[in-house]
Amino acid sequence: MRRIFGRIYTYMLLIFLYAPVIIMAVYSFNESRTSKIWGGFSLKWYISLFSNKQILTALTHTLIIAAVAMIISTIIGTLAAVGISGLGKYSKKTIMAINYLGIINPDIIIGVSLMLLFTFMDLNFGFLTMFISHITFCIPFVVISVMPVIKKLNTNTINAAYDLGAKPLYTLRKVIIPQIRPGIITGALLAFTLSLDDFVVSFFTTGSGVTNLSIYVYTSARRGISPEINALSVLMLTVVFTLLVAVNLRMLKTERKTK
Amino acid sequence: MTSTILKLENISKYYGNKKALTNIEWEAEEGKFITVLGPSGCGKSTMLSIIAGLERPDTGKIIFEGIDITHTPAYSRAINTVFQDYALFTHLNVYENIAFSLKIKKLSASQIKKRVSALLETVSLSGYEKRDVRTLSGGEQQRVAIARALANEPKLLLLDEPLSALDLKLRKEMQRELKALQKATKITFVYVTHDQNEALSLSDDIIVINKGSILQKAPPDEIYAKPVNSFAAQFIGDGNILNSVVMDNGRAKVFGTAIINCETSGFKKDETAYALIRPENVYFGSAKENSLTAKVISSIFKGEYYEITADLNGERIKGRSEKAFEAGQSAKFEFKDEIYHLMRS
Repeated sequence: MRRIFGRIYTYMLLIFLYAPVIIMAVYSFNESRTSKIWGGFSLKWYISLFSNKQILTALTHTLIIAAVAMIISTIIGTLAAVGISGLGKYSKKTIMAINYLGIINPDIIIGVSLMLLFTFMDLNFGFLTMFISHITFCIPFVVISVMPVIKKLNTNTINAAYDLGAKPLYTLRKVIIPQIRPGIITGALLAFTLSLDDFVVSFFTTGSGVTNLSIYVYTSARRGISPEINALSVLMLTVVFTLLVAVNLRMLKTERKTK
Repeated sequence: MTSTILKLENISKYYGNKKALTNIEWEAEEGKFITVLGPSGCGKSTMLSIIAGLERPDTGKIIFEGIDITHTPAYSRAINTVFQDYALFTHLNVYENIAFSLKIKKLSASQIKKRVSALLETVSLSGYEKRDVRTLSGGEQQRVAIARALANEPKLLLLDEPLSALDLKLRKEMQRELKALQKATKITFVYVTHDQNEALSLSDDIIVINKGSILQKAPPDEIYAKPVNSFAAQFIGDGNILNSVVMDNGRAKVFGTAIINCETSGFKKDETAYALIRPENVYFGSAKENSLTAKVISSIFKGEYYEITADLNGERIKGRSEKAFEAGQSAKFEFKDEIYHLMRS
């Protein structure tokens, strides 16, 4: 009895979680323009998506920004985590508290404050400001993804590397990073996803000519969202889902190896 | 002709206000097996880290082959370490672990290959090249760690309680192998342990350390026979440490009445001291008239003899007997005719 209820509960939960996505996916194949009427199965939104220059440019911008933000924030965040882990107890706690501030701080505050900073510094709003702001809000997430694996890292392996003649940089490359790789990958994926779906910070820090997907959707929403967006979302979801499965399989494999 | 390879001069180390090491001074002769013996937390591992260069001393100097290396980073010292937990690189296989330092030295691939297989043969792990280090047993991991530390042909090998994680049988076996390895390679070993038997059976010299200070540095037989104080005496081997009063011309009184022969030079008449009498020199079941009588606390069968622990006027005495005693029984005992060692503290 309890098992049946448990099952029902789980399925209900999954349905509530995924219903919006499923509806979106279904309507992306809808012949009709409005989402109230089912006009039959069609791939036309997918086809027109690839001829919509505005969407494609926005997509390119989003992907470029996400890639840059991912790479740079992963490097900075990982190095920061390695450095923080070597600090004394109190400095470590202080810096981690500051790091958490970046995570719990509402996006709107990050966005506005970055905008103020860029204005104060007299920077031209555009790609540069977008890069800086995305990197900024991604770093704390990379730090918290990498910290736990560093904690599990046997510090004697670092000592052993020094002892065997490895200089600090070589040790970082050949001993520390390979051992904390799972955390780095998690952090990088997290950074990529966060950058991908950010709207608020982007809205405040972008400049003319740099429109990413979220801003495009927001501005076009006034004219009614085109089903092309549904199609695009389904495509992106597929990519993210595949990535996620790949990462999980990889982790499972390494776990088995350890056992 | 032996020469000094390592010299520690006045090394002190603090952690905040806590003193970890105080004025450590000793030197190691080339090719010797030196054991640093002390209870856990006595600072012996800290001393090893300082020699390796993984920690900096607050005062003092480390002289290695006549050169002051106090400020030389660990990676530039021709000293290698076998860590207590082996500290193997789990993301690398056996071959890559051992080749780690050789790659840094930029040896050619064929040279590395040759050296690694020679090292694997030394530690009897031939054919293990491709193995994942995580799948190896404790003893095998230990061997890989030793091979890795030897790869660089260090002049000095530091071993931090390397056998503490192994079971007794394997530990004995590894002890023999380590000793043989040390003899064959002629590398100076500095071996940290809290196991007195290990120290006694392996070393050329033992350094007894407690609370961050050196108590004594001497060969095993000397430490066993003439420990500098009762702490060292209790730490090395089993021993009765009895309150005694020094008499004249090489004698002392224990248990108020019994007279034993002692090395009394340096002691004054009527001075109180501690006499060290090893259990193998205490014979229970004595038939002599003037022998002492104690109340048996325990009698344990040890194969060749019974180990008797007894109480006499509140002092414990441990000795041997050919026959068993009952707890609570009175037993006569005598001391073998030896010249016993006296200690001030």
